[in-house]
Amino acid sequence: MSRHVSAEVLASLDLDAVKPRKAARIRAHVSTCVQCTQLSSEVSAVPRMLASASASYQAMPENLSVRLDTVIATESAQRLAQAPASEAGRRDLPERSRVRPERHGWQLPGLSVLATRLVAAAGALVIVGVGGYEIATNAVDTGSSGTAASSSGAAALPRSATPPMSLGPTVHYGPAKASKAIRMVSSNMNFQPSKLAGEAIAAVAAARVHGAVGFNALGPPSATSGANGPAKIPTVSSTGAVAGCLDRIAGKQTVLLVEMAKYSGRPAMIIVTAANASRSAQVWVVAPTCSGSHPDVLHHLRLSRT
Amino acid sequence: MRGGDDAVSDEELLRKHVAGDPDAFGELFQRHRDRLWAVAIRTLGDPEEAADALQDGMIAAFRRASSFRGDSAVTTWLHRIVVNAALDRMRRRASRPTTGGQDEEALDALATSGRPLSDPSGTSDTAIDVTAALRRLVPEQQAALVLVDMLGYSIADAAEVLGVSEGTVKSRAARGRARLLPRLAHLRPAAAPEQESLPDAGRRNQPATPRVLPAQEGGDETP
Repeated sequence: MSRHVSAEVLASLDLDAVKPRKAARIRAHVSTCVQCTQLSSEVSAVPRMLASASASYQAMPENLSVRLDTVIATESAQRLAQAPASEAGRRDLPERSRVRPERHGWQLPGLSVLATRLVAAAGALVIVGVGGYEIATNAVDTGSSGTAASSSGAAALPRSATPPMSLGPTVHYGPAKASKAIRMVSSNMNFQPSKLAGEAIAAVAAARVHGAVGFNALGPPSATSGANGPAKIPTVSSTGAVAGCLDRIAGKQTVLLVEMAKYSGRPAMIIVTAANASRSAQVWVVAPTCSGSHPDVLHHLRLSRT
Repeated sequence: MRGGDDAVSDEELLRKHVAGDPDAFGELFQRHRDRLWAVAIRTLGDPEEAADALQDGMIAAFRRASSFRGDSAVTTWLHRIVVNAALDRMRRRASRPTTGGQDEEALDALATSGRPLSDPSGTSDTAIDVTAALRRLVPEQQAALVLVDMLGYSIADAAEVLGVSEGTVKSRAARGRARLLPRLAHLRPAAAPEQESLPDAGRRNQPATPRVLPAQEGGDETP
């Protein structure tokens, strides 16, 4: 072999991409050729330089982490409203082309247009604050029928935001009071009858972002209070009463949200249950005194299926 | 590329998500998000584009979970979706008129890493140059080099993620390395003096010269 070897062939050699006999001939040549030895050394240095450069990249920024949590929460909430009762979650969401927003129009800072519209459709507004992101639920003045699917989205975004949620105690419910758990939240949100579905879905999404909806079959939450400490939920007599209320209301359904808030201006507890094999997702508005013996249901809504 | 020794497997979490569990996907994504971000930011260079690609990929995975057939590990499937989202963005970027901003994007990506650009070790300057050079390769070569050389994936894993044969990954990586070489020449401090002492100095980085065995004719090296 008399000809010099190209950088690409030498790189192929490093990657074991050359057949053994040919590789042996190339190596024999390189071992006797100063120029090819030098080139081989330089080629072999490239992956090391790439690996060195790789170490300089930043880890995932915290604001992106929050943004992705928000998107997942919103996707989950959207799916919740659309899940068929007989086979929860199996139905695909609308085709991407149907939900992909056009690249113009109103966009919330730090959130993609797609996520913005999904969040807006669910009646939630993401506010970028000085210290990061906060989630606040809002009354969306869309004139909609109250279902998430029918909200018109970004064109009718709310004007004012309510304070964010506060995390409260964890309530264990279900058989033996230990099989399921849900973190209560509280807010100053004033749920409206005409918009209850959209507002409830938005509240589920917001609660997920806040870490209140973290429980599933994998195990109970590890803590009972968040970084901000437990919320003041003075109108609840005890978590035991709430547990009884959930047992009475939810039955075998998983509870996605227990929010102390207002409903048409009066104190209320908003309970959202997930769809299961036999029942669609439900929104229950009950009095704060709801218990196993006296559920005090103020309003009940079955989330629409499209 | 497996999900590690978590109590619940990735496959089980994905199955739960498909069955309607509202928390399963979040748990699954939480496990892999840092690795997926690492792929996205290294492939695209620009943090904003990487964030959008990761979000696009995550939404696609959320919605297409029922299409997962188990032919590969869940983590491989997730990586493939994010890499494809990144490649889509790279191709769209390549189709747009260039404004000479690629180097600036690479600079921005590294400048936000929190490391001083004037690192006495020279690491940061090297990283900026390497990243800028990488951005000039075709997307497929970039992706191969990101997975294999930057993130240390095996050829087999990279092939699974990219949905191509191992031979294709090797070919793309080899061409990518070769094309990076002249663009990184200034980063080899020891090269210059040695170069002058060689009789064919200055020709080693010109693979098109007749005396150099061309890559496409690698088998024709008869003495």
